[in-house]
Amino acid sequence: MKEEMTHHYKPFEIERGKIKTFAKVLGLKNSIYYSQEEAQRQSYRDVLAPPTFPTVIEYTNDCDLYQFFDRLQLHPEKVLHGEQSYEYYEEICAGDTISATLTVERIEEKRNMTFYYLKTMYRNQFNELTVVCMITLIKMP
Amino acid sequence: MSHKQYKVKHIQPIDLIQYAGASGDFNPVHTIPDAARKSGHPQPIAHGMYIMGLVSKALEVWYPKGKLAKFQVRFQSPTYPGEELIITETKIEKTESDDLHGTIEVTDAQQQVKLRGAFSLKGGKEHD
Repeated sequence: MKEEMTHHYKPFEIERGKIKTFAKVLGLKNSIYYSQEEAQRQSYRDVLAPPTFPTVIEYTNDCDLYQFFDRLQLHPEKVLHGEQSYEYYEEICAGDTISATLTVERIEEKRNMTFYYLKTMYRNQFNELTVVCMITLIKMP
Repeated sequence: MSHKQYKVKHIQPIDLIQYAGASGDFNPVHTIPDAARKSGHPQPIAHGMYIMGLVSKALEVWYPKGKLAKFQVRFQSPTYPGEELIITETKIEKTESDDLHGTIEVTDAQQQVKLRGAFSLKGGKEHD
């Protein structure tokens, strides 16, 4: 794998307040996103990150996704978000430190557009795989 | 089986500003009208991940104790402030191990499709 096709996010510490703000903006109500006590009562280490929270790790990061766009010479205003998918393994909780690595799986040219298929693996401080994320980006002509 | 439906209030510009702040995605095309117009949009375009997040909200309402194993969406058309979103569960099936596999669709009030997606929940039986 060529190094320019890989992006390492900075190890990211998951903060309780960040989870709470993110959950609130989406209107999520489950108390496991807000209350440490309730999360622990349900046998989690701490409050849980909601399903689409990995996006926070991509953008609120010293090495964010847009820096990778620069390396691929992608201009954000010319890029459409085509697809997004997650596979969930271990929970991400407040207090975890998540390391994520993005790789370009493949690049395809179709009808004047370029499709980028990106895969990101998120691992926690125990080196457990927490989430696998696939993103399709479409570069417009 | 009846189709579950969840209606999202009309998206407001402030919702996109709040989502930008919460997610860290400050691409101006999502928040600044001039930047959106320069990219050929009539007004700021909702973050795709905001819409996917709203779908996760619908799943929480429908399956409050469901644990997501897989969650996938394909974006079909942009969402702009002022639009009302309707999230519909278009199919649901239960496996032998009581996991649930479903498909969803998000449309606006004029039935324009915004996204289509699929999800798998673990142990659906106790939550259905």
